Amino acid sequence: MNRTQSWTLAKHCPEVKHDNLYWSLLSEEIVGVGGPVGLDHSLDRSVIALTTKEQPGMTEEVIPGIYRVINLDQLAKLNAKLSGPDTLRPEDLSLFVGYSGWSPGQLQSEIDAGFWTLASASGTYVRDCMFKHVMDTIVEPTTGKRVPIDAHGFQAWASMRESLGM
Amino acid sequence: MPIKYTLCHASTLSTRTIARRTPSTSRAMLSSLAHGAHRAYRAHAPPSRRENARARARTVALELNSGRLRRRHLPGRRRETSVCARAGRESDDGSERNEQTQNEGDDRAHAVDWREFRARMVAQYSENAALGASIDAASRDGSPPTWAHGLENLEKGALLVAVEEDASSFWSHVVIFMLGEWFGRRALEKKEGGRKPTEATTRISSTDFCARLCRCRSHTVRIDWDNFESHAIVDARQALPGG
Repeated sequence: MNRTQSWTLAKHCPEVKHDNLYWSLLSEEIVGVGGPVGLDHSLDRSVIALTTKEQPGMTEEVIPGIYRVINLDQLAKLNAKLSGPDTLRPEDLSLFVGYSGWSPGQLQSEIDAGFWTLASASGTYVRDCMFKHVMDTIVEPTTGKRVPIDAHGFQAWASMRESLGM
Repeated sequence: MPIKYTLCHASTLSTRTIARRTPSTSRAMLSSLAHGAHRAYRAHAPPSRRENARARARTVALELNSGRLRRRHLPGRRRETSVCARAGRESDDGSERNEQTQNEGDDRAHAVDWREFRARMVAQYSENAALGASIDAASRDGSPPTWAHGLENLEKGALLVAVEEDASSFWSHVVIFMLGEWFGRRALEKKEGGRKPTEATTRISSTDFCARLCRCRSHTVRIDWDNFESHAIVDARQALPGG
């Protein structure tokens, strides 16, 4: 989802382990919001990691150029000991807490009712629109904290609608 | 060992496959049948085809000598008319397997992204000038294509763009990247107590998903799998945000 907050993973998910260097680095990353399901409660928290780089055996392709980390915990354990061109670094990952879900047929009925427009986009477009615009941050001069440039994702939404001729 | 070049057809290749799995007595018989079929084919083939076959064999020989020989085939017509070179009568299984692996690697490297192909088709038959321009620019420069177009049906990797512009709604100005149906299922399985997927969970249908969703949410009700439909769907809609 094209939403983010000024929160780091550590603030979103206090239960994240810090016994691993990789997790420690990840916990300082700004995370996006994937949706309202699995967002608030630590017991059913969902963290999804997307990336534009492939690490064989640890990622699966969603569309050409965009990969999902299959098991983030496993990746953190493995990559804490590895370094190389194929190894995903914490800064290569875009993290999203929570996800959006629908019951069977519900999404289709919402599409039919005109609440959503369906689109297909190239991996580069998704990267620029969904990750880059949304996850890019600047350091706020007053507080010195990293904040997302477009927290509400308006830029991504407007750009997508323009591309679809809407 | 003399190297023999032949034009192999589907029947010959499959006969060879069978021959490897049959006793040696039958193998000799099958082999003679296969070569007989070749001779008959060559004898009855029209002159132009025979000429083509000779020319093709010469090309193969030249390519083999220059070390550039690869099995050539068209996707989807792999076993129909392929030119292959064999050392002796019985081909070496190992080398053939290596050759096949190499060919599969080549196929993957040259595989066309079907989504990009579809985008080209959409650009050709729709009035979206921006789409056509972006695809053309990418073809010219060799840069990664940045295109987006409307879709009719849901699919993995699709984008959901909110139509609503009411800023007070959570779902306004939202773009959602669809990772797939499975993710919710996996999260639910985890929530149900880390249960390993059984036959029932691996062969999950949309209605199963709904029923299990309700079970996760309530933690108390065991859904009657035969009679849950209407209640389950209503409950799930109430349980899920955005429902």
